[in-house]
Amino acid sequence: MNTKTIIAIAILIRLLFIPFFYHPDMKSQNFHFQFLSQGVVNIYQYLSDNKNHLAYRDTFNYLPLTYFTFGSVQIVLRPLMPANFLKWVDDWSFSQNNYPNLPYYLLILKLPYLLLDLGIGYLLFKLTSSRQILIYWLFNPVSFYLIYILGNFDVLPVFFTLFSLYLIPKNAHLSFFVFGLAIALKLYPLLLLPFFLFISSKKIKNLVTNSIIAMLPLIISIIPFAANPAFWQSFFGSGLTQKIIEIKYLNIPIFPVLYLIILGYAFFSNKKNLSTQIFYLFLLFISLVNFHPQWLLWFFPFLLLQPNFISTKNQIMILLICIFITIYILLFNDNYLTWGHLIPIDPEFINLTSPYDLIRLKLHLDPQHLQQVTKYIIATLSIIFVYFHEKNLLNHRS
Amino acid sequence: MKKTFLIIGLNLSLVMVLVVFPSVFIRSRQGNSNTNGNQQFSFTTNRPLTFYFNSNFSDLQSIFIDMKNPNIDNNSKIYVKISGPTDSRQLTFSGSNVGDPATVPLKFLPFTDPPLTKYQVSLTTENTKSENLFIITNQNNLPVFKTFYQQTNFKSNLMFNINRQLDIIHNRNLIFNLIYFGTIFFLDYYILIHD
Repeated sequence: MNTKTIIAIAILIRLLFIPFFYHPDMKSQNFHFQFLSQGVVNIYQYLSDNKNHLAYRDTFNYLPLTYFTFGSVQIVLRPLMPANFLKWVDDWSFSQNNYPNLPYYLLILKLPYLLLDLGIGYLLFKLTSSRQILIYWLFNPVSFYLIYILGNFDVLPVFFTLFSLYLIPKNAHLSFFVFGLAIALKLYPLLLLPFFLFISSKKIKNLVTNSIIAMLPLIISIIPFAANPAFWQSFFGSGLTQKIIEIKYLNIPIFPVLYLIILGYAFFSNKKNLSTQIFYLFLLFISLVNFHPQWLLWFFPFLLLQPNFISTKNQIMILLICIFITIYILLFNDNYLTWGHLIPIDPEFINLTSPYDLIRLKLHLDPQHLQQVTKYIIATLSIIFVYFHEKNLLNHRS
Repeated sequence: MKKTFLIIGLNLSLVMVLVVFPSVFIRSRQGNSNTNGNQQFSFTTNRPLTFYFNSNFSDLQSIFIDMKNPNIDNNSKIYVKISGPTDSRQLTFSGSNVGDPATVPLKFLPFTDPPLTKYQVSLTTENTKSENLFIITNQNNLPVFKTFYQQTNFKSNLMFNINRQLDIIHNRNLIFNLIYFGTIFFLDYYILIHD
């Protein structure tokens, strides 16, 4: 089969399945994005002022560029939507899932994700020159789950981080500006930034220049809101900063300490192997951070850049880790992470007993405890994985 | 032959996801409900509440009622009697089972009456304090409630799901239907003719 045919089949399969998977984050985000078309510029202040009149009362916990980007995307997509799209977005009542056109809204809302998904596939192909990696990206269930079932906009910053990696050898300044766009959409790329800086250049002057360029989009986009308390209040409502310091030993947060060790390894290493460094960071992240499933997408494309990713040993280890991550996800007390995804097929799915309740009520076990045990297993597997990975690298060199 | 299997596999997986999968897992159906209401009906010994509804399926198996027990202070007994034309069910629970607010699930041995049966639900309590136990109702004192009906027979469930999906497709936007079924057709055609 030629590459064009493969891509065509990947697109068609996505078009068939993506309308039938839902996560409420997509609706809550679009509830907020709709206000851009009504001329609301300061979404944080607007929500604070109108909290008591709105159908959905949560704060907007994302950055200004996210609001302007996806608010604009919604404006562009609106003509493709059926007439009652806004009615659905504003409906948070008991009947919120009983819309026959829900698959239609989801299909249209996910079209930009489809483009970004294909864009990521293209970049992976350009970075590896491997058709096998492209096929792996297009037909693996993990990226389908992270992009289309969870339906979060993280796919855009992920695309930008990968595009930035592609641009580094061609134009470092442009590359870090693109990376900066990712940061201005969501802060998580700050975790990856030092690794990108080190593979570009370790000269102090370049490190400083590239850092400034990478921070520019964020600084420019938050300056108009910097004096607004509602912005800061909403912004600090998000979870990542808290979660990375949650797990402690002797009152010292473990993730930041080990992160610095990996960073030191990246700085002092002569190899420019970004994918291995991000792979270690990923293993550290899933072991020591109580992560939300959607966050896995931040790392996933970089894992595919690993040398020998497609080797059998790697595949087995990755499969094992994926199985335990799936168990970890199923143990969340959130039916929207299990049956709730299938609401577009039948709204009754939300009333099914979640795995969390099933374990609690039928097996009389504590699902949260089981989730922690699962994390210990993931951590153990990660250590084994790193050990064998380093051993292989040493053997390879000798 | 390989192509034919691919087409059959793809189309079959769609049918599995859209019709068979729900039939296997969805064992109960939501029926008649009242989802509108924000009044707090003070629920005491002197103020019992009775309401009626008509079932829209057979095998009524549970009713969910919205209640409120501010600060979960009240621990009085609450009695529920659900009466059909031939049979009745009685349940007792305490105020501590009611959150602030909570949708209280009342699950019982399913009735065997056919659809369109009229049921009476009577709620009484030992609570004497008017300020700490409430039923959420609309302005006509009809509680906010949902009814659920058992559906365990795979064959009837499958038939129900086929009809339900046809109904949803019928109510769905025509443009979406054209795009969606066009995509299935195009994909089948593409696999069939392409090397």
